[in-house]
Amino acid sequence: MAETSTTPPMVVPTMAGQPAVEDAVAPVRPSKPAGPTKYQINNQLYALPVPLRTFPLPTFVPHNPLSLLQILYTWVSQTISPPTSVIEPLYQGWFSPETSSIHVTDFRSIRGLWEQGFYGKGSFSRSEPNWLKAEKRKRAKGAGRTNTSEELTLQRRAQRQQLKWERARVQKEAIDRKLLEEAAAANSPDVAINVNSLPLEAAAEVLAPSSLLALDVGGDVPSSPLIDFVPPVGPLELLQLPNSDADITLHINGFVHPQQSSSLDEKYNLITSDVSQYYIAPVSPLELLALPNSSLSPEMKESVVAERGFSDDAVHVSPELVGLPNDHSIYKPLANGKPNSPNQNSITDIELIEAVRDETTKTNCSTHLGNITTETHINGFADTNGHPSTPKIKRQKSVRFSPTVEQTTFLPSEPPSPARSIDTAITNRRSVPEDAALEVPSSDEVDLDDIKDQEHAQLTLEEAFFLSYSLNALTILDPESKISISNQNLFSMFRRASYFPPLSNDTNLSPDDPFMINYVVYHHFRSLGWVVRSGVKFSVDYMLYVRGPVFTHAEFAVLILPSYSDPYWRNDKSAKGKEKRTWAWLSCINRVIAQVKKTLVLVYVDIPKPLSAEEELMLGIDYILGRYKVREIVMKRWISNRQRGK
Amino acid sequence: MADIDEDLPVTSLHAQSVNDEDDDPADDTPDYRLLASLSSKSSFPKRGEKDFEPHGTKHQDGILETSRQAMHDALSHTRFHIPKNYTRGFYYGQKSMGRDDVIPAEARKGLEDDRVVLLETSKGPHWKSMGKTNLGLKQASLWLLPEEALYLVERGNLDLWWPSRSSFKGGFKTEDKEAAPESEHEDDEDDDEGVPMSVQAAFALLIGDDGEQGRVSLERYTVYTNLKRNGYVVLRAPTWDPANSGQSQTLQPITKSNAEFPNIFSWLLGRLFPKSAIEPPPPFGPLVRPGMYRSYDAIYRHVAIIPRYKPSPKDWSPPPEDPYRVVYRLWTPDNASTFVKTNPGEPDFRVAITDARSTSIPSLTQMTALLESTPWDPPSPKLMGPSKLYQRLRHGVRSVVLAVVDQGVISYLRLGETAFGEEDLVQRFNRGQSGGQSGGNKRSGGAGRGRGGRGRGRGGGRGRGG
Repeated sequence: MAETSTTPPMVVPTMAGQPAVEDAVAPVRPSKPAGPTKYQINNQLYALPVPLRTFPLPTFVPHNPLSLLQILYTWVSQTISPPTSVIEPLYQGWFSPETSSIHVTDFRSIRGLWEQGFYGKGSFSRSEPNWLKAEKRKRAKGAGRTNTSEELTLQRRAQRQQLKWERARVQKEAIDRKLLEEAAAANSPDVAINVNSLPLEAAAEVLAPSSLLALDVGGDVPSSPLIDFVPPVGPLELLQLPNSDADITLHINGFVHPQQSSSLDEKYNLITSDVSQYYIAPVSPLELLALPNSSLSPEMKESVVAERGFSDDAVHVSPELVGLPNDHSIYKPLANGKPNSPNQNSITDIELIEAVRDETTKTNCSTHLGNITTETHINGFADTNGHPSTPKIKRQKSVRFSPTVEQTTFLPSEPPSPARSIDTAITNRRSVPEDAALEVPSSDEVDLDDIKDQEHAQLTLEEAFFLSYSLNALTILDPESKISISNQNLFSMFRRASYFPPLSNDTNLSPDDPFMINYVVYHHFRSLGWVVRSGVKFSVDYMLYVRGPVFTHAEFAVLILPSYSDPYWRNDKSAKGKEKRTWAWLSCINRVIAQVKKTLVLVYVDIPKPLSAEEELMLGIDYILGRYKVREIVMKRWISNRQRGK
Repeated sequence: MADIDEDLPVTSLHAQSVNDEDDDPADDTPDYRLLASLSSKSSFPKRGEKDFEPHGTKHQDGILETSRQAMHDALSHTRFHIPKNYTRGFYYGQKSMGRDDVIPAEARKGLEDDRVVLLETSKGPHWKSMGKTNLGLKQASLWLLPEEALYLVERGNLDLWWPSRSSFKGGFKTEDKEAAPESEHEDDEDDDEGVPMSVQAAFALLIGDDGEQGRVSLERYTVYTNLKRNGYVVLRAPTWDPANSGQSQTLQPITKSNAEFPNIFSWLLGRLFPKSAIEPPPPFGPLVRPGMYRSYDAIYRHVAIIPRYKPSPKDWSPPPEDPYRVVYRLWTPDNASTFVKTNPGEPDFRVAITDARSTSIPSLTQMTALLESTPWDPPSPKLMGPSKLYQRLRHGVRSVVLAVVDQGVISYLRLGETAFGEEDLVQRFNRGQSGGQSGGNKRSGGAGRGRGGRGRGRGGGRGRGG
């Protein structure tokens, strides 16, 4: 706000009789000598509640007799040549029939109307017309502080997003920890139970056919050879490795961490052997290979089968084979690189995995869709195995169209990161200059002062009429003739313009024109000193602020309900229809307002009986407005559980 | 299931999220695990926290399984009448066995027409706030309203019977009298006590339309039981039946207040510089004529042309019309302990009931009539002062609770008659010129409504405003 305070259209402190704000506030907080606070700046900037000046007499201080003289002097001088409260020249606005609003285009009027009662809305801004300010800051590189409300909101949103991610991460970690604990607890007594137990169940099911393959290729070999393959570490320790629960998923995803490959092998062996106990495996090798798991081309299949059929040590090979990613490329080294080696042992196995890993990485790097291929295979695999439901283990979705592997594949245990959220993407996109149509030259080329203010403020019909008719602070010009419009004409013009399409000049105006109803409520609350602004963002008609949106949040949300209780309307069927509102509708609005911690005020406007055009002319606007009655009813949800203590 | 309180997560993996003020516990699905404690009757069950998706832990599965088991246990729990607390009631609502035919006049003295269920005994805790004793001095008997009887039947506290001619014994049995006449009865009447009534039959007989004698409408019964289960003391309001609400009410037009702000400043100013009475403005404005104004007070006085509603304790609209009429009076559970049936005192709340589907929201006439049928209850002196502006306006001068019933689902709304015209914000402008302290302290009154950033009237707390 520091910037704007230097360029206010009204120079507040120089006004006669206007006490300087700082003088009064400073004694209250002596601990802050350095510069006025933001509140003080606001207080000074928004000192006038209406676009009118007042001239109070100086206060009389009893122990200072001179102050009496001062009062006398002020009074006399003001009596002789009375100053005017009107701020001259009057602010100017243009009626825009197309948009049914008033456009204010000159800077002085825009700022003046905003600062003295919070009228209008910037056409490029959320409410306060501060596009120019934001634009300047945007172009001045390195300007640290953000100040416009829009920027603050963006900042807050980002913070909130961060907070949410943080929370999600903590929850995820808790779940993972729990999973690990449970797995460990289940694992320690018996390995077989471990596989059957919950978190690993899904993975085990998915892997089951592969284990069948392993066993079947080995013919009638009992499971004892598997047990010969002794893991170097106990299962408990294995499972307590940081990423151990992710390993299975890794296998499925076809992404193998280098440092994990050895432990994977062992672990996988264990699982395979355990799972095999629960599955009947009397299927021929060919059939097995026809399962989607082996998405090999026919000739590859043949070679693999041939290889395995002749292999002496097939049982040792198979677990690793099965554990390999189900990618086309993965089988290439198998089929081509080592087509006929009859004696494979565990050493070559590790080599194999290394090779495969490289291959996988390459594939993923070269084709963006590498991960998708992998994913599809796995899904198909699960489906055709008689497990139509998707695996229970939640896998991180890896279908992302990103060129790098690092960013496309996540460990499930990895905390989610805000940088990858869609919301962040949106936020980032929003921070791009709003006015895209504008060709923005870089700040090096253009002096900041040369930026033309392209923003105008727009006033609603009610605001404009209140400023013009009640406060006499605004002239509204006709866009064609360029001369000001009288209040009398404005009154009928706005009433007609409040319909869509606007009424023609020969139709009769009724006392329940949208403009009339809205204006009565607007005028009512404005005349009580409230700052009234549109409530369309909150599903209501108006929001009420005590001093203005800069100082406080709105506490009250005004919902206008026309009422036709005058005897004149008794036989008017359409009037009864206009009163009708369903409870669902009201409940909906009430919930929205409760959600934003505000209070809903039902404002009933009692519509009087119509007057003829001649009568209206004769009686004047103040009489016409005086015929309406306004009643306020506050509405709040009443929660029976909470009222117990009253 | 609204009787289950909130708070206190039972078991959950992650810390409970911030308790939202507007989160209505009655809206959630109940946590059935909590029902397990019901059978032990030790304490009121607390509401748990729900997980939104399965995350594969056995812990979570265990919770789910416990929940299911608890629900099954609760549903399979056998309910029975404990002999000690056994209460029998007789239903005298049918034509063939009407109350006014069967019961002698002195035994039903002082009872409303709707009290059709006669109790055999008056033991038990319920009769402190339910039922009404006849005014026949010799033999007291306790009579229930249809909703009271049905509520107790539904709860299993009352066994409702169809009476026979001999069921009415003229009042409660007393120890000494019991011996002789009782034996005679047994000889004469062959012990014809009547026929027990099923819960279904009780519903069929006691639920009906409003205005039917001895019946209650389903909407009102729904609200009644909901409030009873929440621990309130619920009594019918005098305006229950429009035919019986014989209040003489006079029509008085809404008074206009011609904005006069009596305070020392303006009074002094008026004495020093006598101001002319406000001239009527020119027919097409401006309301504030060009010239010099010494205070915003003076400016706003010219702008005040729309009549402001001035609430007064004397206002009486036409009597409230259906359905916007107070039908129940409530005393909160905290006040229930001191509640005396014969001298209930002023209720804490008044409840009107409407059907969400067949009615639309009240018109101004209905609304004012409903509110003005409630007593004058201006904000307490504690709520005075500029910092309590919001609370004062929210409190209003009269209030009523409206229960909107949609097929058994109840939405309660508190409606308060308030008057923004009574609040003088303009004076703050005059003060604000020098002081300027008012803005920042506005929120300080809103105790307990803390939400990050809301209280920062001083700082950049501008973000959410429209």
